[in-house]
Amino acid sequence: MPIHTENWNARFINLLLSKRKTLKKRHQLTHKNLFIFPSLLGLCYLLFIMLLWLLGTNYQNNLILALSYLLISIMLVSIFHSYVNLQGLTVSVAPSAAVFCGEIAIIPLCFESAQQGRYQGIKIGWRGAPIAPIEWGGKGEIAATLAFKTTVRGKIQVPRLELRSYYPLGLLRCWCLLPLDLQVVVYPQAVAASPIESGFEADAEAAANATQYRRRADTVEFDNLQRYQQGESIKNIAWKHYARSDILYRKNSLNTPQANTSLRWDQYPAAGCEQKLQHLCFAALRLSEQDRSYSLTLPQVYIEASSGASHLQQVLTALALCEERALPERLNS
Amino acid sequence: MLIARQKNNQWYWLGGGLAMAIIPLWAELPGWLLPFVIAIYLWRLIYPQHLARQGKWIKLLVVTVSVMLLSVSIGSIFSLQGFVGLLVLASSLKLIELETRRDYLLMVFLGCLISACQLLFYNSVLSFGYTLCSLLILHTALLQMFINSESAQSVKQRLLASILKVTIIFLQALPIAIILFIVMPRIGSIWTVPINSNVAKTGVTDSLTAGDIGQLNQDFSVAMRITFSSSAQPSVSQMYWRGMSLAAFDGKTWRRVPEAAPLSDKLRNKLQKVTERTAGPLYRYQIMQEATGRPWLYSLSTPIVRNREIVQGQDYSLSRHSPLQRRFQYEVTSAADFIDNTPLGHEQYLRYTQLPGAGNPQTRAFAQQLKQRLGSTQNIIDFLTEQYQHGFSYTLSPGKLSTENPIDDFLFNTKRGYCEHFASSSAFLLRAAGVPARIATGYQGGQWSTDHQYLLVTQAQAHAWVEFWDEQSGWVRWDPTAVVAPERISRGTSEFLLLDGRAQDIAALFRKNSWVRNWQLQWDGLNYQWHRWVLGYNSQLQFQFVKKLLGAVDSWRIGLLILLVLGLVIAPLMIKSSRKSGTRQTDPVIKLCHKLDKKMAKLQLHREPQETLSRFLSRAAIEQPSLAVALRSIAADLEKLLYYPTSSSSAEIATVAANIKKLKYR
Repeated sequence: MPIHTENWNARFINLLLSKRKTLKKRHQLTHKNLFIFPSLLGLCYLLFIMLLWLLGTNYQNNLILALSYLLISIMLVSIFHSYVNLQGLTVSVAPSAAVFCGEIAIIPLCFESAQQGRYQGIKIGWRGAPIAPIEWGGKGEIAATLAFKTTVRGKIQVPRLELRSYYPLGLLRCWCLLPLDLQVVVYPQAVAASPIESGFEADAEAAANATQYRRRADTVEFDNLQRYQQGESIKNIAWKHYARSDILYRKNSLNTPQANTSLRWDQYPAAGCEQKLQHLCFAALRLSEQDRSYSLTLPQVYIEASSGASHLQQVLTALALCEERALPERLNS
Repeated sequence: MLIARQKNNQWYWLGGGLAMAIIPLWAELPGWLLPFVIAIYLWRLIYPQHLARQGKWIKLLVVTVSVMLLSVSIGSIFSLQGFVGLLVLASSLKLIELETRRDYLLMVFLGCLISACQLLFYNSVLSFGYTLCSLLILHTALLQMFINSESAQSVKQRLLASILKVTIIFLQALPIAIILFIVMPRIGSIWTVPINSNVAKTGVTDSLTAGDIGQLNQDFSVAMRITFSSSAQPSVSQMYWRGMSLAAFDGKTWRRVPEAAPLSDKLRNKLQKVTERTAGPLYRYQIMQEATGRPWLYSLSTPIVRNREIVQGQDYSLSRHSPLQRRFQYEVTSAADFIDNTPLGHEQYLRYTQLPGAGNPQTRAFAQQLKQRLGSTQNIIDFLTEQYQHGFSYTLSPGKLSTENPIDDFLFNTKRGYCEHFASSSAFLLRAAGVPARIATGYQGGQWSTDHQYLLVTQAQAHAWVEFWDEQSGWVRWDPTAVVAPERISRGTSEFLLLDGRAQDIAALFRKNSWVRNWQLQWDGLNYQWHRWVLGYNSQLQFQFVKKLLGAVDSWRIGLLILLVLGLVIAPLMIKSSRKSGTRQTDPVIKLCHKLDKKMAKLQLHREPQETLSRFLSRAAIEQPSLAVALRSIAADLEKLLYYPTSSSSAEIATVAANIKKLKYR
């Protein structure tokens, strides 16, 4: 109902918010962070009061005039009621689990009321996003979760939390935009690298091998094929099968050593910076699935070869936090 | 299921509020509209969904037909009735397709507007209270939209809570509204509007024929209410509320002669001067006259008014430019001893001695005889007074008089009548004797309210008397009825009727009962104050009242008053909420912890929600090395107090508190 994307309105609110930007894990709603403004319904109500006042003035009817004064007083009084409704409520936020980019982070929130069943008609949501009511269920303290859709990797600050209430009569919007002290670690999206990005053409040795395989394509058969994993040597790729099925297979010859794999930044020379991180992420997940040990080399970070969940988390976090500035310029291809 | 039930609940509130708003208007609207509205309500109740799904064309047809029917039955859509009728129709028809939240809110506003329109037709205390009640219901319907819909509470509990909430809001808004009503400036009509012109014409007419006033005597409705602001007041028996003088007589009916010129400026100034002086019987009073549908106003003798709406005739009578379509309030000053003995001009002399060519020969002869025998006017009056006192009687049912010579018949034959008979025949007799005379009509007397605050004059007090010309004293009032039946004057008509034993209807018997009468007077007192202070509160009264209230009329004083009232209303609410917000701690150690948290926050150290006190303090000690020693000792002391309380705790609490206090200064 209320339009709050209006330009002047948004600008005004930004001005107000610029003074209230201390990130906190726990906010208590007071007169310092609560805003009250007439809602669309409230503006209609004011118009209606004007109409009544005109009616009363024109007909010189004191009772209708009195009625219009009563309605304006009701609006005045409900300002305080709407303030009292939200005042004293405490909102706190707990850390959220890391997610992959594009996934939805679940942010756990906790609302504590000073008095049972006092808060009415409160809705929560991220600033500028749709909002949903919270169910108090007659308790003094409730936990709620709020979904936060991630779009970029990195350590992402959650947007301001909006709490909104139209209580008591819907004439006024009492709301606050709380800067929560919560950063969600967003891993890069796991994207498999295409062979071109894997530097197939750039690698002279691989090119030579490729011609060799092409030559022997009809005669040599490999009976033990496995899906090619990122980070494995390109030398073992069954190119013939790739040509046939568009899927990369690895020749599973026994003499291929199950050595430590290293995930390197320069592994995908043809890809852009973000893509490189995405491919590295994909590769790390794969290797971890196979329980293999691997190391990570980024321009500024080096993680020793290891395996296990905590190692994976370490690697993924390093990928998520990899600073854009520190990355070498993207190669043109 | 729950959502559906809740929606229904909201609907009931809205429907109830709307019905409450519409019901009092049914008398003003065409007869078919009420059954029509009821039918729509019933339909909606029985088939809640069915109605909304009707085709567009059917809806359009219903709307067109009903609007046409309305315009035909009211006459014009562009009248007040038409406007209200359209509102009622629109709100009822909208019920058919009440689907979305927006429709619902629109309906609440429509309901409020309709219930406000009720006040255009009725303005008693009761109707205003009723309007407030329907607004309360409609606002409760509004509140229903914006509160928690929790299953934990029963529906009944929720309803009670929401009614309570709205009532609280209304009660808090009321003082502010009253102040706004008192101080907000009044602007006159911004544009002309069609007004409700159905006011029946009541009260005294500008002609007087037999039987007219006899009918008025049965009517106990209020004619006017008077408040005296001067300490000098005439006794009730001397209160002659003069309306106009009737000078033209055609043998049966006395009529008012339309005056060409108003009271001359010279006389007006002379009268003005008299009223400015402080000595002598000077009456200042405020009259609130009921709507009569006629322009004439009433006052004591020789009045002066400052209201520009009022004109004063040569006979000192007051009238307004336009008929009184609503209650009208005006301030008057009367100088009871003012004498205007400007000699009558020839034209005026002829007018006030004019008689029809023939009729009533016996009276004419008698008058000539009196003139020759007694000479002076005063002697004639004295003689007539004596005559009336003997042999004449006052009655409200005098029987029929002869059509040719009614005055002869009354004076020499029946000798029974009421004020009109006495006034008419006396004026005729005086004119026949060559004395300029006229009849004055208006009201006589009144009844003081129980608290003696104001005088109530009813239509039953309508009266007629004689004014004759005297060269020294000008026009002199002479009431022959007072001579015949002094109790009619002193006790009022209604009681006279009871004494007379003629009015034996139930209403009169009820009036006899003292407590019913007392209650009636109390109720009228309330109504009077309502009319005087609420309905009649105009810019003039406003200025006086605000000046009295605040000492002077300044915008800053008014602003301060509004803020003061707002503060008084809001203070309890805010105090209550601030008490609620912090859970009151009684444990001194917990209090101490809170104190510590606050102090640390000032030092830019914030405790995380999950962090224990000791962990927080050790972290703080690392972050603020300068405080490390103090913090460690506080941590140890607090830990001890929290988990191993001993009897000597109170002394330790004091030391810890002192330590915490010291933290600030490092």
